[in-house]
Amino acid sequence: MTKAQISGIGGTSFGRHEGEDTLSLMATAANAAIADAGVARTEVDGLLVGYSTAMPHLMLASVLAEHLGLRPGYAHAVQMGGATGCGMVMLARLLVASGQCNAVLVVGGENRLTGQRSRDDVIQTLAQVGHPRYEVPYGTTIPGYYALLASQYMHRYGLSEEDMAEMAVLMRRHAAAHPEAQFRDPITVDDVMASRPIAEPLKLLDCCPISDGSQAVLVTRAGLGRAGPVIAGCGQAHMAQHLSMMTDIDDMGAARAARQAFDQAGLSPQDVGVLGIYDSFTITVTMLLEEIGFSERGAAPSDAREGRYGTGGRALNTHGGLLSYGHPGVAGGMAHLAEVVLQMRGEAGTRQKAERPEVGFVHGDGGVLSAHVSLLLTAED
Amino acid sequence: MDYQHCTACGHIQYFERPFCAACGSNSVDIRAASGTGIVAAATMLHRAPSRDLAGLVPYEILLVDMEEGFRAMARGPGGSVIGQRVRLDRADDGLLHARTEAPA
Repeated sequence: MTKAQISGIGGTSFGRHEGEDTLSLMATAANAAIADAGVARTEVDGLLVGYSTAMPHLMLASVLAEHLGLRPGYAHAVQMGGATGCGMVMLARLLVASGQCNAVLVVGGENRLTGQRSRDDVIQTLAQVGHPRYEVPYGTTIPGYYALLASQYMHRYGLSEEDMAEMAVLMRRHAAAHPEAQFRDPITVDDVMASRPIAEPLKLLDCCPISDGSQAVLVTRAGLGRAGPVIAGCGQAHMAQHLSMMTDIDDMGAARAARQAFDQAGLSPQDVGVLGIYDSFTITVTMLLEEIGFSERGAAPSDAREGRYGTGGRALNTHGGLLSYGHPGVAGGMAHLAEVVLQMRGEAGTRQKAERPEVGFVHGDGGVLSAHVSLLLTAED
Repeated sequence: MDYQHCTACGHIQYFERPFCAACGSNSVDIRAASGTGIVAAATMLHRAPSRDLAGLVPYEILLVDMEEGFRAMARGPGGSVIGQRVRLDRADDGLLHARTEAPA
């Protein structure tokens, strides 16, 4: 099987990009990733594009290919909610491994913050991940769905709201060191506790923001373009779309997806030096870290408080994650991957882990922990 | 409040479909639920998903484990706690609303 590597990354800052649109943001990231990889434009023979809520289109990949001046032999859009970025990279690896493609460009981006008529429209669109008959009419929002998860999980494992706040504090501390993060002012547990309630037990600072931004990566066969981290294992799991159907909160699918990735690579969670874990809410990253096995059940917040997820430990979302770096949809989940690549290259600047990590793990989830994709990266050949 | 029961394999499902999601059989019948269950999750919503619901906040949303073995979303009275016994009834707004039920 041909090895697939991440040979290029590129993206915009996350936050407010007035006057930009889905295509302009995507193009900035795509062009930067191709340039970073040092691959000729004509060699890009695959294009995978994440959906954009700001620009719904039947054929977004064909539109973007034309806009970029690419003529790929394989191109389509993908929609897996927040798991889209990881899902596209998994598919890119399969396309390269099978010999179908040599260089697959993976792109996500949109002006989710400034491109809609209002924040209400975004919130209403996103709430449609619920069941149209049995859930949506009750008036739940995405934070509401995650709050329902949080209430169960915190009750089962004895976690307090102050515990959950630790994850937001850590993400903000990491974002403070990244010049392109949306929110960089340090916060404390008290700040999180004092922020206004959104869906109890979640408060404003337990929730990620809505952002504009884009991110792209170029996945190539080993030997083509800049040598980069090898995609050594991937896995997915889809247990259920709707929260009402998820009765086992200890088996959401994250561990199943991760196990496939670790088994493919012959590695275990103990081998991982840098983490990119989806953190749409404080409960999201807590449940994912614990189900996959990076922390014991109920221990992720105390592990964070004690520095185990800082750059002196198992560096988690050193860019600041969705909670502080920002969340423009598909690109949000891809920024975790880009940061893990930077850490593995030794190019994360002031955020760089002292010892360059040899193994990186990235996990994305879509919906309400509905769709799971894990990626395992190992040092370049 | 209805749910479906598969006459072929006995599987129970809340989300209505013309087949059984466990075995694929087309012989599913509709049964009336007792309406009683246990609160599995609760949240008080302070930010509504749409303008038409904005005037209602804060309102409570529950997940309830029904006696028959399925989980259902419902509006709560506020102050609900996990493990509490509740009864669900369909109100004029078409939604299931929970009220506290004394322990059996």
